[in-house]
Order: sequence, then structure tokens, then C-alpha cells
Amino acid sequence: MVSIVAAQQGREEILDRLKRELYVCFECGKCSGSCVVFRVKDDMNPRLFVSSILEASSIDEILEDENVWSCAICYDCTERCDQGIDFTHTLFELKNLSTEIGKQPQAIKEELATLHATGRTSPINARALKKREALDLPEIQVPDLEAIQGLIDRVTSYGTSEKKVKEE
Amino acid sequence: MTKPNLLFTGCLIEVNYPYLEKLANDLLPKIGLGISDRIEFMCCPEPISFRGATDYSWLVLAARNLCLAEQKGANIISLCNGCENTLAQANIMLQNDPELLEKVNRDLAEIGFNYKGTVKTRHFLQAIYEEVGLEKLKSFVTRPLSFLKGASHAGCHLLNPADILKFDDPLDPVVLDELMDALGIEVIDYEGKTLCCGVSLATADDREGSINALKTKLLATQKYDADCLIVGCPFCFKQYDVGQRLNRKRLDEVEPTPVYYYLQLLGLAMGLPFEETSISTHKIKSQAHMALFKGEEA
Repeated sequence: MVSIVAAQQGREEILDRLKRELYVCFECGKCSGSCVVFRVKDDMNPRLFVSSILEASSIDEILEDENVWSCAICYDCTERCDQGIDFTHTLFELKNLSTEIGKQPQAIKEELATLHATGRTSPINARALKKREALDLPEIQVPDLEAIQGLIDRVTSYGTSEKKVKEE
Repeated sequence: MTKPNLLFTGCLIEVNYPYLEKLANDLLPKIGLGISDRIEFMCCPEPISFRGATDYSWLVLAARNLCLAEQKGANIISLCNGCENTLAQANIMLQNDPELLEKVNRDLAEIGFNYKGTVKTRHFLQAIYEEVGLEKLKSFVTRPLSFLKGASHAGCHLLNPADILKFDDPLDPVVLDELMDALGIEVIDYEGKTLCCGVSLATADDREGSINALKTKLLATQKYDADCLIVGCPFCFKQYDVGQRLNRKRLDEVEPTPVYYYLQLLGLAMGLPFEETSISTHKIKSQAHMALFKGEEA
């Protein structure tokens, strides 16, 4: 199941909803057993993460946990949860909320800036153009960059305090 | 009438591994998957960090890419797990939720776009598996690569979410194994097939976690005597190839393991000269493999 972050909800409503979604967890630990990150990072334990969200008194308290950004989005926990919890999606929501208050990791800030400036995540460089030419591949162009930037600015929730999406 | 296919190459291949774009353009039509002339998509956009940061802009920008294909009356074949993950997820969300589609179209209208929902997106491995099929694929193999003991790594974002990507069983994937077997490769079944390469941790500044994931994976393949990893994603490829070079000191328990992108091996199995695969540009090379790829006795 996927759904777009419910941008219309306020933070208290979001916290209530997250708790309702996670309330069915019976702490079997399958999520932690299947988590590719937990295998290599002791403090990213999805089962305990779910518990801490259930006990949290605010969204901001949850966002203090830097493991919000540790999910590799492999979806294995979602796939294996017998209770149908989509924890991958919960973390997507938390990452979005974290970005709204500027708490995203530096690398993410840079990626967002690059995508905005170039329409790409790997910017075109002279070496790439040379390689492409040698392979007889066409030049890369991103048409309508201005339109794309306008679109990002209008719908995006990062970097601006005015959220046009939410105003609707 | 079958729709034409547009190649969704993706930022990373276009810039870092353009030879994979070349291989796709040359090889896919030879096995029956026609590819139309290149059009300029933008970033898919990237499904881990960018979507993590801003879910709705991710959807709108993906919809814009889908519109470009729809305007050409075409379907999409992607060369990257990340691109396919974004495009497939966004596509299904828009196709199944009229209210969401309307909302996205209101935003797209500002730049003169409108998405109807008619595009089909597939990863190239999926297109080969479903449309060409294993039997026909085998008929193109003139040089079986039976000397390779390959560990498949389909990759998280091609397998999941399985109900949308519909590629394979995400907990016990076999499709890439079967595609490798069709080229004559000895398929190594190993515990840890679904372990992540770790690249998405690096993109969120967690270098330590990323290296540990890489190491865990390589130790798993080594335990089962695989002599190479085989992938269909340029991000997994980069993590295994460049990642092993960059973190050599941290990986001292690990045998350097070469990684090949499936199309390179498809090309070799179809008789493509070794030079055209660009395998000699990889950071982690196996001299024994390269001699065999060139048709020399090892």
C-alpha cells in the first residue's frame, strides 16, 4: 500500500494517525529480523522504533531520532509484517516532516539543491560528455528547466515556509 | 498495435556509465525489444532521498516524466531500479486514485501537461523476462558464459513493493537467476540474496552503515563461492564496484568481487566483442574473467 503523505493534516493529527496505524503491532520483531540496516547498525531497530512512536508525546520528539533517516527503503519489514503495518511508509512520512523543519541530512539537502538546479541528481560534467561523444551517444539536455523549477517551487514542501499544497 | 518503447536511462547511467545506455540501445532491439529515439526525461525523481524529503513533488515530477512518454504514445523501459521504482509506484498511484490524478493534473496544467494514465513502465530485466522469455533469450546465446559462478543481486527497489513492481518474490527472488542461467552462467543460490547493497544509506550521509551493508553482502556471496555479483541497477553496481575500491582497507576479510551489469553479460553471450562491454573500465577487475570474456584460455 502506498499513499501520499497527508499534507493537509496538522502535526497532532498526524501523530494520532501514526499511532493508530502502528497500534496493531504485537512486537513479534519480524521487522527487525528482516531489516537490512539493523544488521549493520544496532540502534536502528524497527520494532523498538515502532514502540517509541507509540509512546511519543509529539512529532518533534520522534524527529529527534536520527534513525528517521536510516531506513534504506528496502520494504522488507512492510513485506513481512503479519499485522499489515507499512513501516516503510511511516518512515517516508517522518522524513518528509523532518525535511519540513530543515532536519534532513546534509547530503539530502545537497541532492535537493542539485535536482532543483539541474533537473538531475548526477549533474552533467565535461568528462561525461566526452565519454558520451566517444560512444556516439547524443548530448544530454534537460528541456524546460525553468518550467520544472517553477513546478518544484510551487508544489514542494521543503525550503519554504509557505506550502502551496497545504493551502488548497 | 504494440506501443513503442522509450528507454528511461536515468541520471547515473547517462553521466557515469553511458556505455550501459549504448549497450541497451544496441542489444535490446536485437532480442526483440524495439527502442525509439531518445527523448529528454528529467530525473525520475530519485525514490529514496528525494521522495523521503518531499513525497508530493516526487509524485508530480514523476508524472511529468510519464506524460512525456504518453505524448509519444510509448511505454517505458528503465535501466535502473530506482527509476523503475519511482515510475512504477507513481504510475500505479495515479492510475488507481482518480482524485489524486486530478490534483496532480491541476499542478501539471501550469506547465501544459496532463497525464491520462496510459503508460506502462518496466525494468529492462522484466521486459526481457516477460516479453522475450527465457526460451527465446537462450536462442540468442552463441557463447555461453558457463565459467562464471554468479550471485544475483536483483536489488531492493526492483523487488519491493512487490504488489506494484510485480517483478519477483521479494523474499526469495529467482527471476534474475533464471535470466543468468539462460546465458549459461552457473547460478549460486546464497543466503542473503535480498540483502541491500547499502547505497541508500550513503545517500543519507550514513557512510558507516553503507560500508557495513556492503561488507555483509560480500561476505555472504563469498561464503557460497560466488566469483562475481550480477546486477541490473547502476546504483547497486556503483556501490559494489566503486564501494569496494574506496573501502578496500575496511573490507580486508573480503575477496575483491567483480560486479557485472546484466546487459554486459548478455552482450558477451551474444558474441559482442569484449571491448564494447567496457568491463575493462571497472574498478574491481578479474583478470581470469577478462581473459575468458575475450575468448582466451585462462
